[in-house]
Amino acid sequence: MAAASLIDGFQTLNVRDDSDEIQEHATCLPFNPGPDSGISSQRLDRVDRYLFRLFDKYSDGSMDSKWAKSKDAEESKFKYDKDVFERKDRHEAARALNRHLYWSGGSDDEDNFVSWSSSLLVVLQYAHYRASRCDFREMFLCAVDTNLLPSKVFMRDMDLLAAFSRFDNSDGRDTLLGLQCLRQKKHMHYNGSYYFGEYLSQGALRIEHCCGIVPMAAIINTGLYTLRRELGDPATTKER
Amino acid sequence: MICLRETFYDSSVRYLTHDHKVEYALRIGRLFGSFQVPIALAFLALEPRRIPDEAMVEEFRPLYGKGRLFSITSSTREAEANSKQKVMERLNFHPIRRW
Repeated sequence: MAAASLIDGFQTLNVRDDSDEIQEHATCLPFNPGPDSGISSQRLDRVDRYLFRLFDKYSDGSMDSKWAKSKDAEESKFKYDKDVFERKDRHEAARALNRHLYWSGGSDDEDNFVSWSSSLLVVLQYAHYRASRCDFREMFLCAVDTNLLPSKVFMRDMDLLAAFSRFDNSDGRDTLLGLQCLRQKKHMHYNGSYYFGEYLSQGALRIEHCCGIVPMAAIINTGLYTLRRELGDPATTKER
Repeated sequence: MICLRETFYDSSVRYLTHDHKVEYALRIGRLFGSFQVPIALAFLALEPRRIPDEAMVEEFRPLYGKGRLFSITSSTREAEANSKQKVMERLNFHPIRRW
């Protein structure tokens, strides 16, 4: 009797080494879209090597040389440690994505995403847009090497839009489907589309030793306007 | 004259740049520590492809309001640099290296 119980006990014993998994879960919250999302695993692995993010004291969440945290992760609120694809209520998840991408969330709304861009030019333009309310000395540009981070921690906005737009029941024109169409829209005169390489991460992401963070003022003082004089054009900064 | 391969938007695009711009890009790159070379290249690659960047300008136009957006267009790509090899060495850049 005792031997049988012992054998049963050994058979159910799991000796799998979970240390890597635990380590990964402690430092990031990967996207795991199911088969019903229509997004293949290979597609998630195709992330640009370097991603950029601009942040200042008004940015939601928190960023430093160790962590990139969403607003919810910073405040440990809502479903900050849950993959958006694990959420049962897809409509609620779609609304959260909508609020993040349209910048329409209030301080009490949930937001578990952090935005990044593969386009340095767009991020620099965004810095100049934000300069109307924040000094360049208080603004920081973060660059991460995605090769040094676990896979699936970044996901293209277009893939998230594709996965959640059918669950979005927002009124008006600010819908996920509308944003999806805009990103794919061809310009009337130019042979390009309205897309600027946005990626999202979720929850808390440990970026220590994988990133470089530099104040925008230092970048400008080191010669940004020599490289792109249009960014420092006084005629445009005067109007801003 | 040096010819760099744009790696952040489209690896098929090549364009010319000035030696002094390489110098400034390297200075900015150094601010990012161990990412010096790729970030220097990214700043150097701000000389954008014309067509997608026009689209980007349009994308950001609502944020700036009518008539307030500075324009990012391709500047004249005059080529003047000392030695291609010298600059390549400073950038640790190899033509077929992919970032």
